Amino acid sequence: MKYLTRQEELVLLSVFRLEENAYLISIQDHLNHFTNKDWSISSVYIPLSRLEKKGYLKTTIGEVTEKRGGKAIKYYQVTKIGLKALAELEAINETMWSGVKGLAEKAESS
Amino acid sequence: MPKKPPRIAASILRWILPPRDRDYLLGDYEESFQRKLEEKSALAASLWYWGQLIHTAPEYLLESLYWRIIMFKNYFMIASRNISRQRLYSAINILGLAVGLACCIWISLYIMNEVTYDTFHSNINSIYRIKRINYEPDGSVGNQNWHFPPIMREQLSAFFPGMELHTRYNTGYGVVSYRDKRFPEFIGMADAPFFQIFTFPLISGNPQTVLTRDDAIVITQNAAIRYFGEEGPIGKILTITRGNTQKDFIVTGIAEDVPQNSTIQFNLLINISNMPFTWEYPPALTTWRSFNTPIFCLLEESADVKNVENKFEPFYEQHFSWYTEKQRSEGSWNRDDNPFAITLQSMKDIHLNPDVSGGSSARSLYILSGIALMILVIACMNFVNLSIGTSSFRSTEVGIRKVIGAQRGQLIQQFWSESIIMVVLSMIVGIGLAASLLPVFNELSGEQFVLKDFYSTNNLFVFISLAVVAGIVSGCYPALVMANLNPVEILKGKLKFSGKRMFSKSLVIFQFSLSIILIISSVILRAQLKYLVNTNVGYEREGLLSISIQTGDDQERFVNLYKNKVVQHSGVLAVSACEAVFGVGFSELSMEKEGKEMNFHHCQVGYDFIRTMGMKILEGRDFSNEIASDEEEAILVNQAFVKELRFESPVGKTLGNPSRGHPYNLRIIGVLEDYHFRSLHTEIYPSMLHVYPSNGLRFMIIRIRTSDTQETLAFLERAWEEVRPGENFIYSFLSDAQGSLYQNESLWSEIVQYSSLLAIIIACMGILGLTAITVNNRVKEIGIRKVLGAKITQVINLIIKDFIILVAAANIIAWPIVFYIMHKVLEKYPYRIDISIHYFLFSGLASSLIAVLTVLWFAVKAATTNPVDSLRYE
Repeated sequence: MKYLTRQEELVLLSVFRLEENAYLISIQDHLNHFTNKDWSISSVYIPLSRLEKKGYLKTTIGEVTEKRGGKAIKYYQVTKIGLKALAELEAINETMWSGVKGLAEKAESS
Repeated sequence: MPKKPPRIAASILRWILPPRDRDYLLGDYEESFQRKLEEKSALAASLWYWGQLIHTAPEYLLESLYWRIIMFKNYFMIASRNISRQRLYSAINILGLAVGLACCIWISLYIMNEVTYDTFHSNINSIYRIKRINYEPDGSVGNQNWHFPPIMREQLSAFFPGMELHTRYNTGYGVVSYRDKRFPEFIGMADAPFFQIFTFPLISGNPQTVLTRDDAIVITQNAAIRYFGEEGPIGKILTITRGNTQKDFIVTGIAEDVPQNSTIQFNLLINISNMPFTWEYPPALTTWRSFNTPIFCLLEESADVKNVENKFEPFYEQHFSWYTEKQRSEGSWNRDDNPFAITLQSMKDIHLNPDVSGGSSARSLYILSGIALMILVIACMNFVNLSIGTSSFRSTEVGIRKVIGAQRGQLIQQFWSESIIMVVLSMIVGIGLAASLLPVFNELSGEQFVLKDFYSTNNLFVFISLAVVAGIVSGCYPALVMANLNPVEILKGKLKFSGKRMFSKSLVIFQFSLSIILIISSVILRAQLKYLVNTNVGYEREGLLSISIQTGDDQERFVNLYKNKVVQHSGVLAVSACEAVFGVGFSELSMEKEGKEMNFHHCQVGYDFIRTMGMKILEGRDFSNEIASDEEEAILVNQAFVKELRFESPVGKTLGNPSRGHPYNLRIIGVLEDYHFRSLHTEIYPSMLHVYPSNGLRFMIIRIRTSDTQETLAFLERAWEEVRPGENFIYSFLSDAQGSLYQNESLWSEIVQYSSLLAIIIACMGILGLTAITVNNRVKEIGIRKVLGAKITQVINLIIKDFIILVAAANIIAWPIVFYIMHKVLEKYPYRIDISIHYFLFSGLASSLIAVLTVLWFAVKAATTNPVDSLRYE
């Protein structure tokens, strides 16, 4: 199978966690919050658009607001194959990470 | 009023963002911007916005490139399907463009060779040739040349401290021998610094000293193999024979073969101190009165050329004031300044300089590139026309694409990429074509090109950009037309592709005009060439043979010996000898007559010369060996000579004594009908023939029966070997030698001929494709016409009529243009044909005929189709 990139994985997971409220800025906030890094809009958008073209995400067009300069909002939702891909990733991560211990200490001490 | 993001940044962003999500993304940026505004100052928010733009722009661009490549795969697929579905049109397009591009490759090889002339000299920027600018008696600038008295070089160092090195360069003639090998050769002569100034790499020998000795000889690799084969040449002795003297030379160096694109060409090079020997002219190096040798110099890099040039004025005063005096005393110069000025000419400008004769002109390169581009343009027009013609087949595809959401820009891109794919294919075919037909081109141009020279990065870049530009230009119109179609009309079937199609028609007219210009030019150039070659030159050329006499010991005796030996043979009609073969070499003398200087050709001939050549004596008599005084004073002159001297009754008149060292006064014994001593590029010059010994006879002239040439030649060769053992039998027919005088004309005539052929073929392929399309589009109309009773001829007429009108229009446009061009071209020939109407009529008729024949097949096919087949679905 083809694996998603790390960015794509994180973005897909964020969309899933944000449920109904997943659009670019909220995803960006979410990622900034959890990864403690500064994600730019493009670095969120590019994985998003690729996921969308691969069919992992579907979109709905939302309302037009003043604070967005009169532009519509685009909401993302995870599709069925997106969910399947996420579940697979979870399983892989769990098996891969199980039994790995004391990484942080080792990184600290060396 | 809420604050807005910086406007410029927003519009740049708008332009960069992927169009699909452009609006949402702009909204997202704005939302973030508003948030920043709440947290920080307006300036900080603006700066952030700009920062985002700069930071993210590359990512979007890369992303869009990624999708573009994916789209291009689709375009490529569609294009390849189209190419294989429409085989006829694709073949026409690809072949036509390939031929056009192949022409471009050949021409660029030729042009590259011309513009890189002499550039292999590493000092080229500092090498200059001393040039002489002559002034007309009215003070205007006349012709320019670069010959000076050789002795001048010795004065240069004293005058020009900025001149590092200088060398004279000239060629002499002699028979070179090593053991049993003897070859007549032109031998280069130069001063010792020659190899320091010019970059002719030496395989062995030191460039600084290799030519210092008086008896040193440097030979090229090629000559080394010719004389010594496998032996090592260094230190070997080559003997040069000139006239009655012989001199031995020691091989001191071997040079690499001189590149083809070098102005200076030599096989053998000796020190110029031998010039009196190779020219048989003892004062060669000591006289100031003979302008015969080019002088090259190397300036110091820091030297100011203007400064050096200015110093030539005092130089002239010191060394050439005698020339001004002489001209003044002769009355041919009445001005206060000097009749010529000395200046410098950069080595870079020598080859492509039309001012100084001897180089080829840059103009001919422009003409050549023009012709190649013309052929390419004709091929591109085919492409445009066929794309427009076939667009009806593609319209549904375009409609669907538009409905699905293809944007105008994308459609344009699609059609452009299709034409570029076509061009790339043609490029591959074109390179193949250029490579496989290169021998033909080499023969045509008389040069030795290899395709390897073409594969330089520079060239490939130019070539590929040319191809891409050709693709974009020819894809332009179809792309724009197709992209602008209204999808609703297409899909409803309302769109019509018939109509007047003025654009296509004007392209066809343009193509044919270009082709017709080339055709008529080639016909006229050929006629002129034929005229030059076949014009009555004043003597009978057929069956006239010249044999070169290589060593000059006692020629008169030898000529008689050989003559007596061969003259009895049944194939030999007459035998004589002369100093220079007509048309090829000549020498000029001047004579004073009533205070005016008169130049004329002179030529030593043997007895029976007039009869052998078949010349006509108008007055007086031929030379006779029974009249003893003929050998001392008799001359025959031509009509031009008589005219120049304004003699009423020339026969019996005595002239002064123009020849060096000849003790008698010359007496005219007869007048010859004017004959062309030189090529027909110049008018007939005053000339005289004499039998008194001057420079020695260098050619046997023999008239043979034209019926069994081979047998007679074999006999002559056997006789030659008996009389001159060990000397090669080198002969040529005068008719061939005459032909070679017009090499330039015949080259151009062939170039134009071939290009007109290519042009008309490509143009015809175009109308072939167009007819196919027309017939296809009108298949139902033709069916209905036939059902209603139209005859086959009427239907054929219907289709052909259009094309005949186009070709006729093209003729009308082309004629005045070609008349103007050819008028200009022929102007420079003193002997030329008239541009008569029948060349035009012939070409017009031929082009129409070719066009009709091309169209006819499809027309007949369309006309004979059973209407049942074409109408069965209605």
